[in-house]
Amino acid sequence: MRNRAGLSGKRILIVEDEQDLRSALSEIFADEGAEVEVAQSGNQAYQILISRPPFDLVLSDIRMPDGDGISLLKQMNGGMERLPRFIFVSAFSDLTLSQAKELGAITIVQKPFSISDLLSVIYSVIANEETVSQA
Amino acid sequence: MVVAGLSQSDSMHFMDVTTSHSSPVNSSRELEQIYEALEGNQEGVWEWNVEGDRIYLGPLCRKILEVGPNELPQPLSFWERAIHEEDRERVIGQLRRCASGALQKFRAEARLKRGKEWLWVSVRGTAVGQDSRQRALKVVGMLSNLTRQKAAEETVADHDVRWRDLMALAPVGIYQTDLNGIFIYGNEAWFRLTGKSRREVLGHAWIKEVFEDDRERVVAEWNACRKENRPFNVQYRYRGNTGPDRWMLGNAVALTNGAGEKVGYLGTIQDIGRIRGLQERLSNFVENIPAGAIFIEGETVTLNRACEKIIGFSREEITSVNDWLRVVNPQDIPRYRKVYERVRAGGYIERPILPINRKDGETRFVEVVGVNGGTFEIWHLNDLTERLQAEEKFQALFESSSDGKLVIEGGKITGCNLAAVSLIGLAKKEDLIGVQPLAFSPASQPGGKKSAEVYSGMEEVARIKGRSRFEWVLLRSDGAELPVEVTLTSVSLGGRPATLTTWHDLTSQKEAQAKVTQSLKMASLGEMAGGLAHEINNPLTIIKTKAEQIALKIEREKTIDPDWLREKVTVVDQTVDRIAKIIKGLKNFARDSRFDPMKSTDLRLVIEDTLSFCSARFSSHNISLKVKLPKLPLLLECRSVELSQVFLNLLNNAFDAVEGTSRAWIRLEARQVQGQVEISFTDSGPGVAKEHRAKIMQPFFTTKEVGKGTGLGLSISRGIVEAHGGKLFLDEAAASTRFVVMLPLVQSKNRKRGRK
Repeated sequence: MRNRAGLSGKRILIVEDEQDLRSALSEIFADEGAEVEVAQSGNQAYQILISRPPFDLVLSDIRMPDGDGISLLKQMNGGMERLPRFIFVSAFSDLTLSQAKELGAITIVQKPFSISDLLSVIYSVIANEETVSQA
Repeated sequence: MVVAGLSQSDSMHFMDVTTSHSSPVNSSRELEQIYEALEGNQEGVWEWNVEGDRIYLGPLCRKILEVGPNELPQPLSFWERAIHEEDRERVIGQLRRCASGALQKFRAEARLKRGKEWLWVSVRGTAVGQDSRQRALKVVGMLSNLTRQKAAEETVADHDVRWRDLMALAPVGIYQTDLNGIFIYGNEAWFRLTGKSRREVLGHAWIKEVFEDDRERVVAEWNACRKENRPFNVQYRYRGNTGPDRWMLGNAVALTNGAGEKVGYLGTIQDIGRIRGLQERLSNFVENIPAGAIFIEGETVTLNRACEKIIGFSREEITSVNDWLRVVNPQDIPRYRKVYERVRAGGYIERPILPINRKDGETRFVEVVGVNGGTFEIWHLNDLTERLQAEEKFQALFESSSDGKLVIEGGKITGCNLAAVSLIGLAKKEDLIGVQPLAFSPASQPGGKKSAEVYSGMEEVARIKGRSRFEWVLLRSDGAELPVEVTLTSVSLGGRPATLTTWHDLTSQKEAQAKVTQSLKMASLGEMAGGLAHEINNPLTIIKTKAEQIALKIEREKTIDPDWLREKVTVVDQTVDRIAKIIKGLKNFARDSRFDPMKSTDLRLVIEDTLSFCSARFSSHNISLKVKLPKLPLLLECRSVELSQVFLNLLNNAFDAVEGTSRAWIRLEARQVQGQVEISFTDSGPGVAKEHRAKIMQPFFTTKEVGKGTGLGLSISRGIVEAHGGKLFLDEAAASTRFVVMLPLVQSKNRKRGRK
């Protein structure tokens, strides 16, 4: 396990319509030191992204009422200058990894996932970003 | 005294009369004797002494005139008064003229009063002697009683009138010819019937009036009759002057005089035109009817055309009863004889069907009906061979059908085939005969309607339209229900209304349908697979996350805050229930529900169960699904899984219609409308194209892309809804696409109970 403050200083937006999952993820990332914002739909998420930037990472479900994850990413591509890192969370194979990457996402995390797997993905993404920015 | 010339003359001449004034009583016994001798027993003698004016009467004369022997001779005036006044002058006048010498003899008939009666007498007289003035001395004569003769003559005259009346009024034409056939008399009827005038025929040969074509025949018969001395009786036509020739029945007999010599012929004619026409039409009719007819008169047999056809022999070949035996099998002769004797005896009971051997060897079966006509008989042969064969075929068809076939008359089964018996699970036809068809149905049909009501409605349809067809459930004798398709056909059997009923077993069809329904159900589940995975993976993720959170907490902090832990565990517990509910709904939906019994169920629960495993599909595709259910239960008799399938199918159709469109929405609403519940599925999709509306309920019709739709969804859904006694239709009046399911609610029993 990584340091508990491994994500400190990072702003993460969780987009999930399932309340229980949303709160669980929020708790986990907060425990890792991240500043967490939550949205229950794509539309709500976009409002937050615009009104309270910047975010380091967006973790978004795909299927949601009132604005799904794919629409959200497309909207972000079209309307934001600086795009945060974007990870899809999917309960079903709605789109392939290549389709996701084409849209601008880094990867897809399949439900049900384990916290450690999810965190390792996120750490690697953050680390990559740091590597890139340091480089 | 000489009396001369008496014998050669009817007048009497008294040549010598000695005493002109002598009284016959006193003077001459001799004279009396002469009178008596002269008189005989027919004519009396009288003598008028002109000068003395006395009339002497002989004994017979006195007897005729009833004058006693002692009465004195009377003067002429006495007798003049006795004569009838109509005759008086004639008789007295002649007598006086004889006396005056103007007349030698006279003869007269006159009526004389004798007592109270009138007497017809014949009087003859002759003047005798001559005086100087040429006057007669006496008039002597004879007198006879004519009364009886006159009476006879009057009778004769009366006969004469009656005879003429008879001739004039007789409806029969009467005529007379002489020996040579020359027409000498015809009565009024004869002229009327023949249309001839007297001038035309009198004195002409009678035969000329007979129609040319018949003349030869008539003459031949006439001659034969004359030769054989028998009466003439022939039907022939008279030549018509105007209008058609007339058919007559002519009779004639020879007329003979007193000596037995033939003097001519007396004939009658009767108009038989009508009878003849009737006969012709009748024989024409008998000749042309399709039924065989045999006319038997004594030993003679005459066949009509149809009979020739049936037996294959011509009428020339079969002319006697013996000939007829050629068409009869020897072993059947007793049966024919029985019929023959029955007919002869005038009675007839059954109509036997007897075999006939045709000339070509083929056997035909004929129904025989005999009619006794007195001097003749008519046998009527009805060839039933084809009908019997057809009946056999019909019977075979009827029996070989795997469908149950029943004949229902007067509300009861009067006939059935073995298939009907075995469908019901009984042993023999007699178990069904006489029973009402409803006896083999449960009290109510699927959907809850009373069997009796539905059945009588269908009977009514059959009565009006001739036929009705409907699905039905029969109750077998073992208590099992059997789905059948019933066809009722209204017919007339022997003039009475009857219903032909067919039971077509739908078990295999129902099974096949159920299989299709089942696979379709799976297909619709497949369509939702994505949504299902989402629906299950989400809660699984929650559980997994909560579990990991707990594990992390233990690892990092060694102690756990019980409240924190309780909260996590509660979420896990609820989420497991959530998954279990989905699994249960799915399992329930996917399983074979064919044999589920109809159960009283709250429709709201059926809808909620359906939504439990499919709503995620809509939310996750950004489709707004709004559901509006009433607050009170909607109780109906149903197979809930089947209804769930219908709802899922309609929701999936709506999903396909709106998927990918912006602001997509679907509205599901259930509401009570009188005794029914209306469940409507409205969506924001483009709607059903007009040209597709009539077809959407047909099996295999789909507008979806290949591989996506089976084309069976709506047709199967409709089948299910109808099996529940409801209706599924597209509400064409609605602004948006709106499918409606109407289902009957459980009747007011429960509501009433609820109110109490």
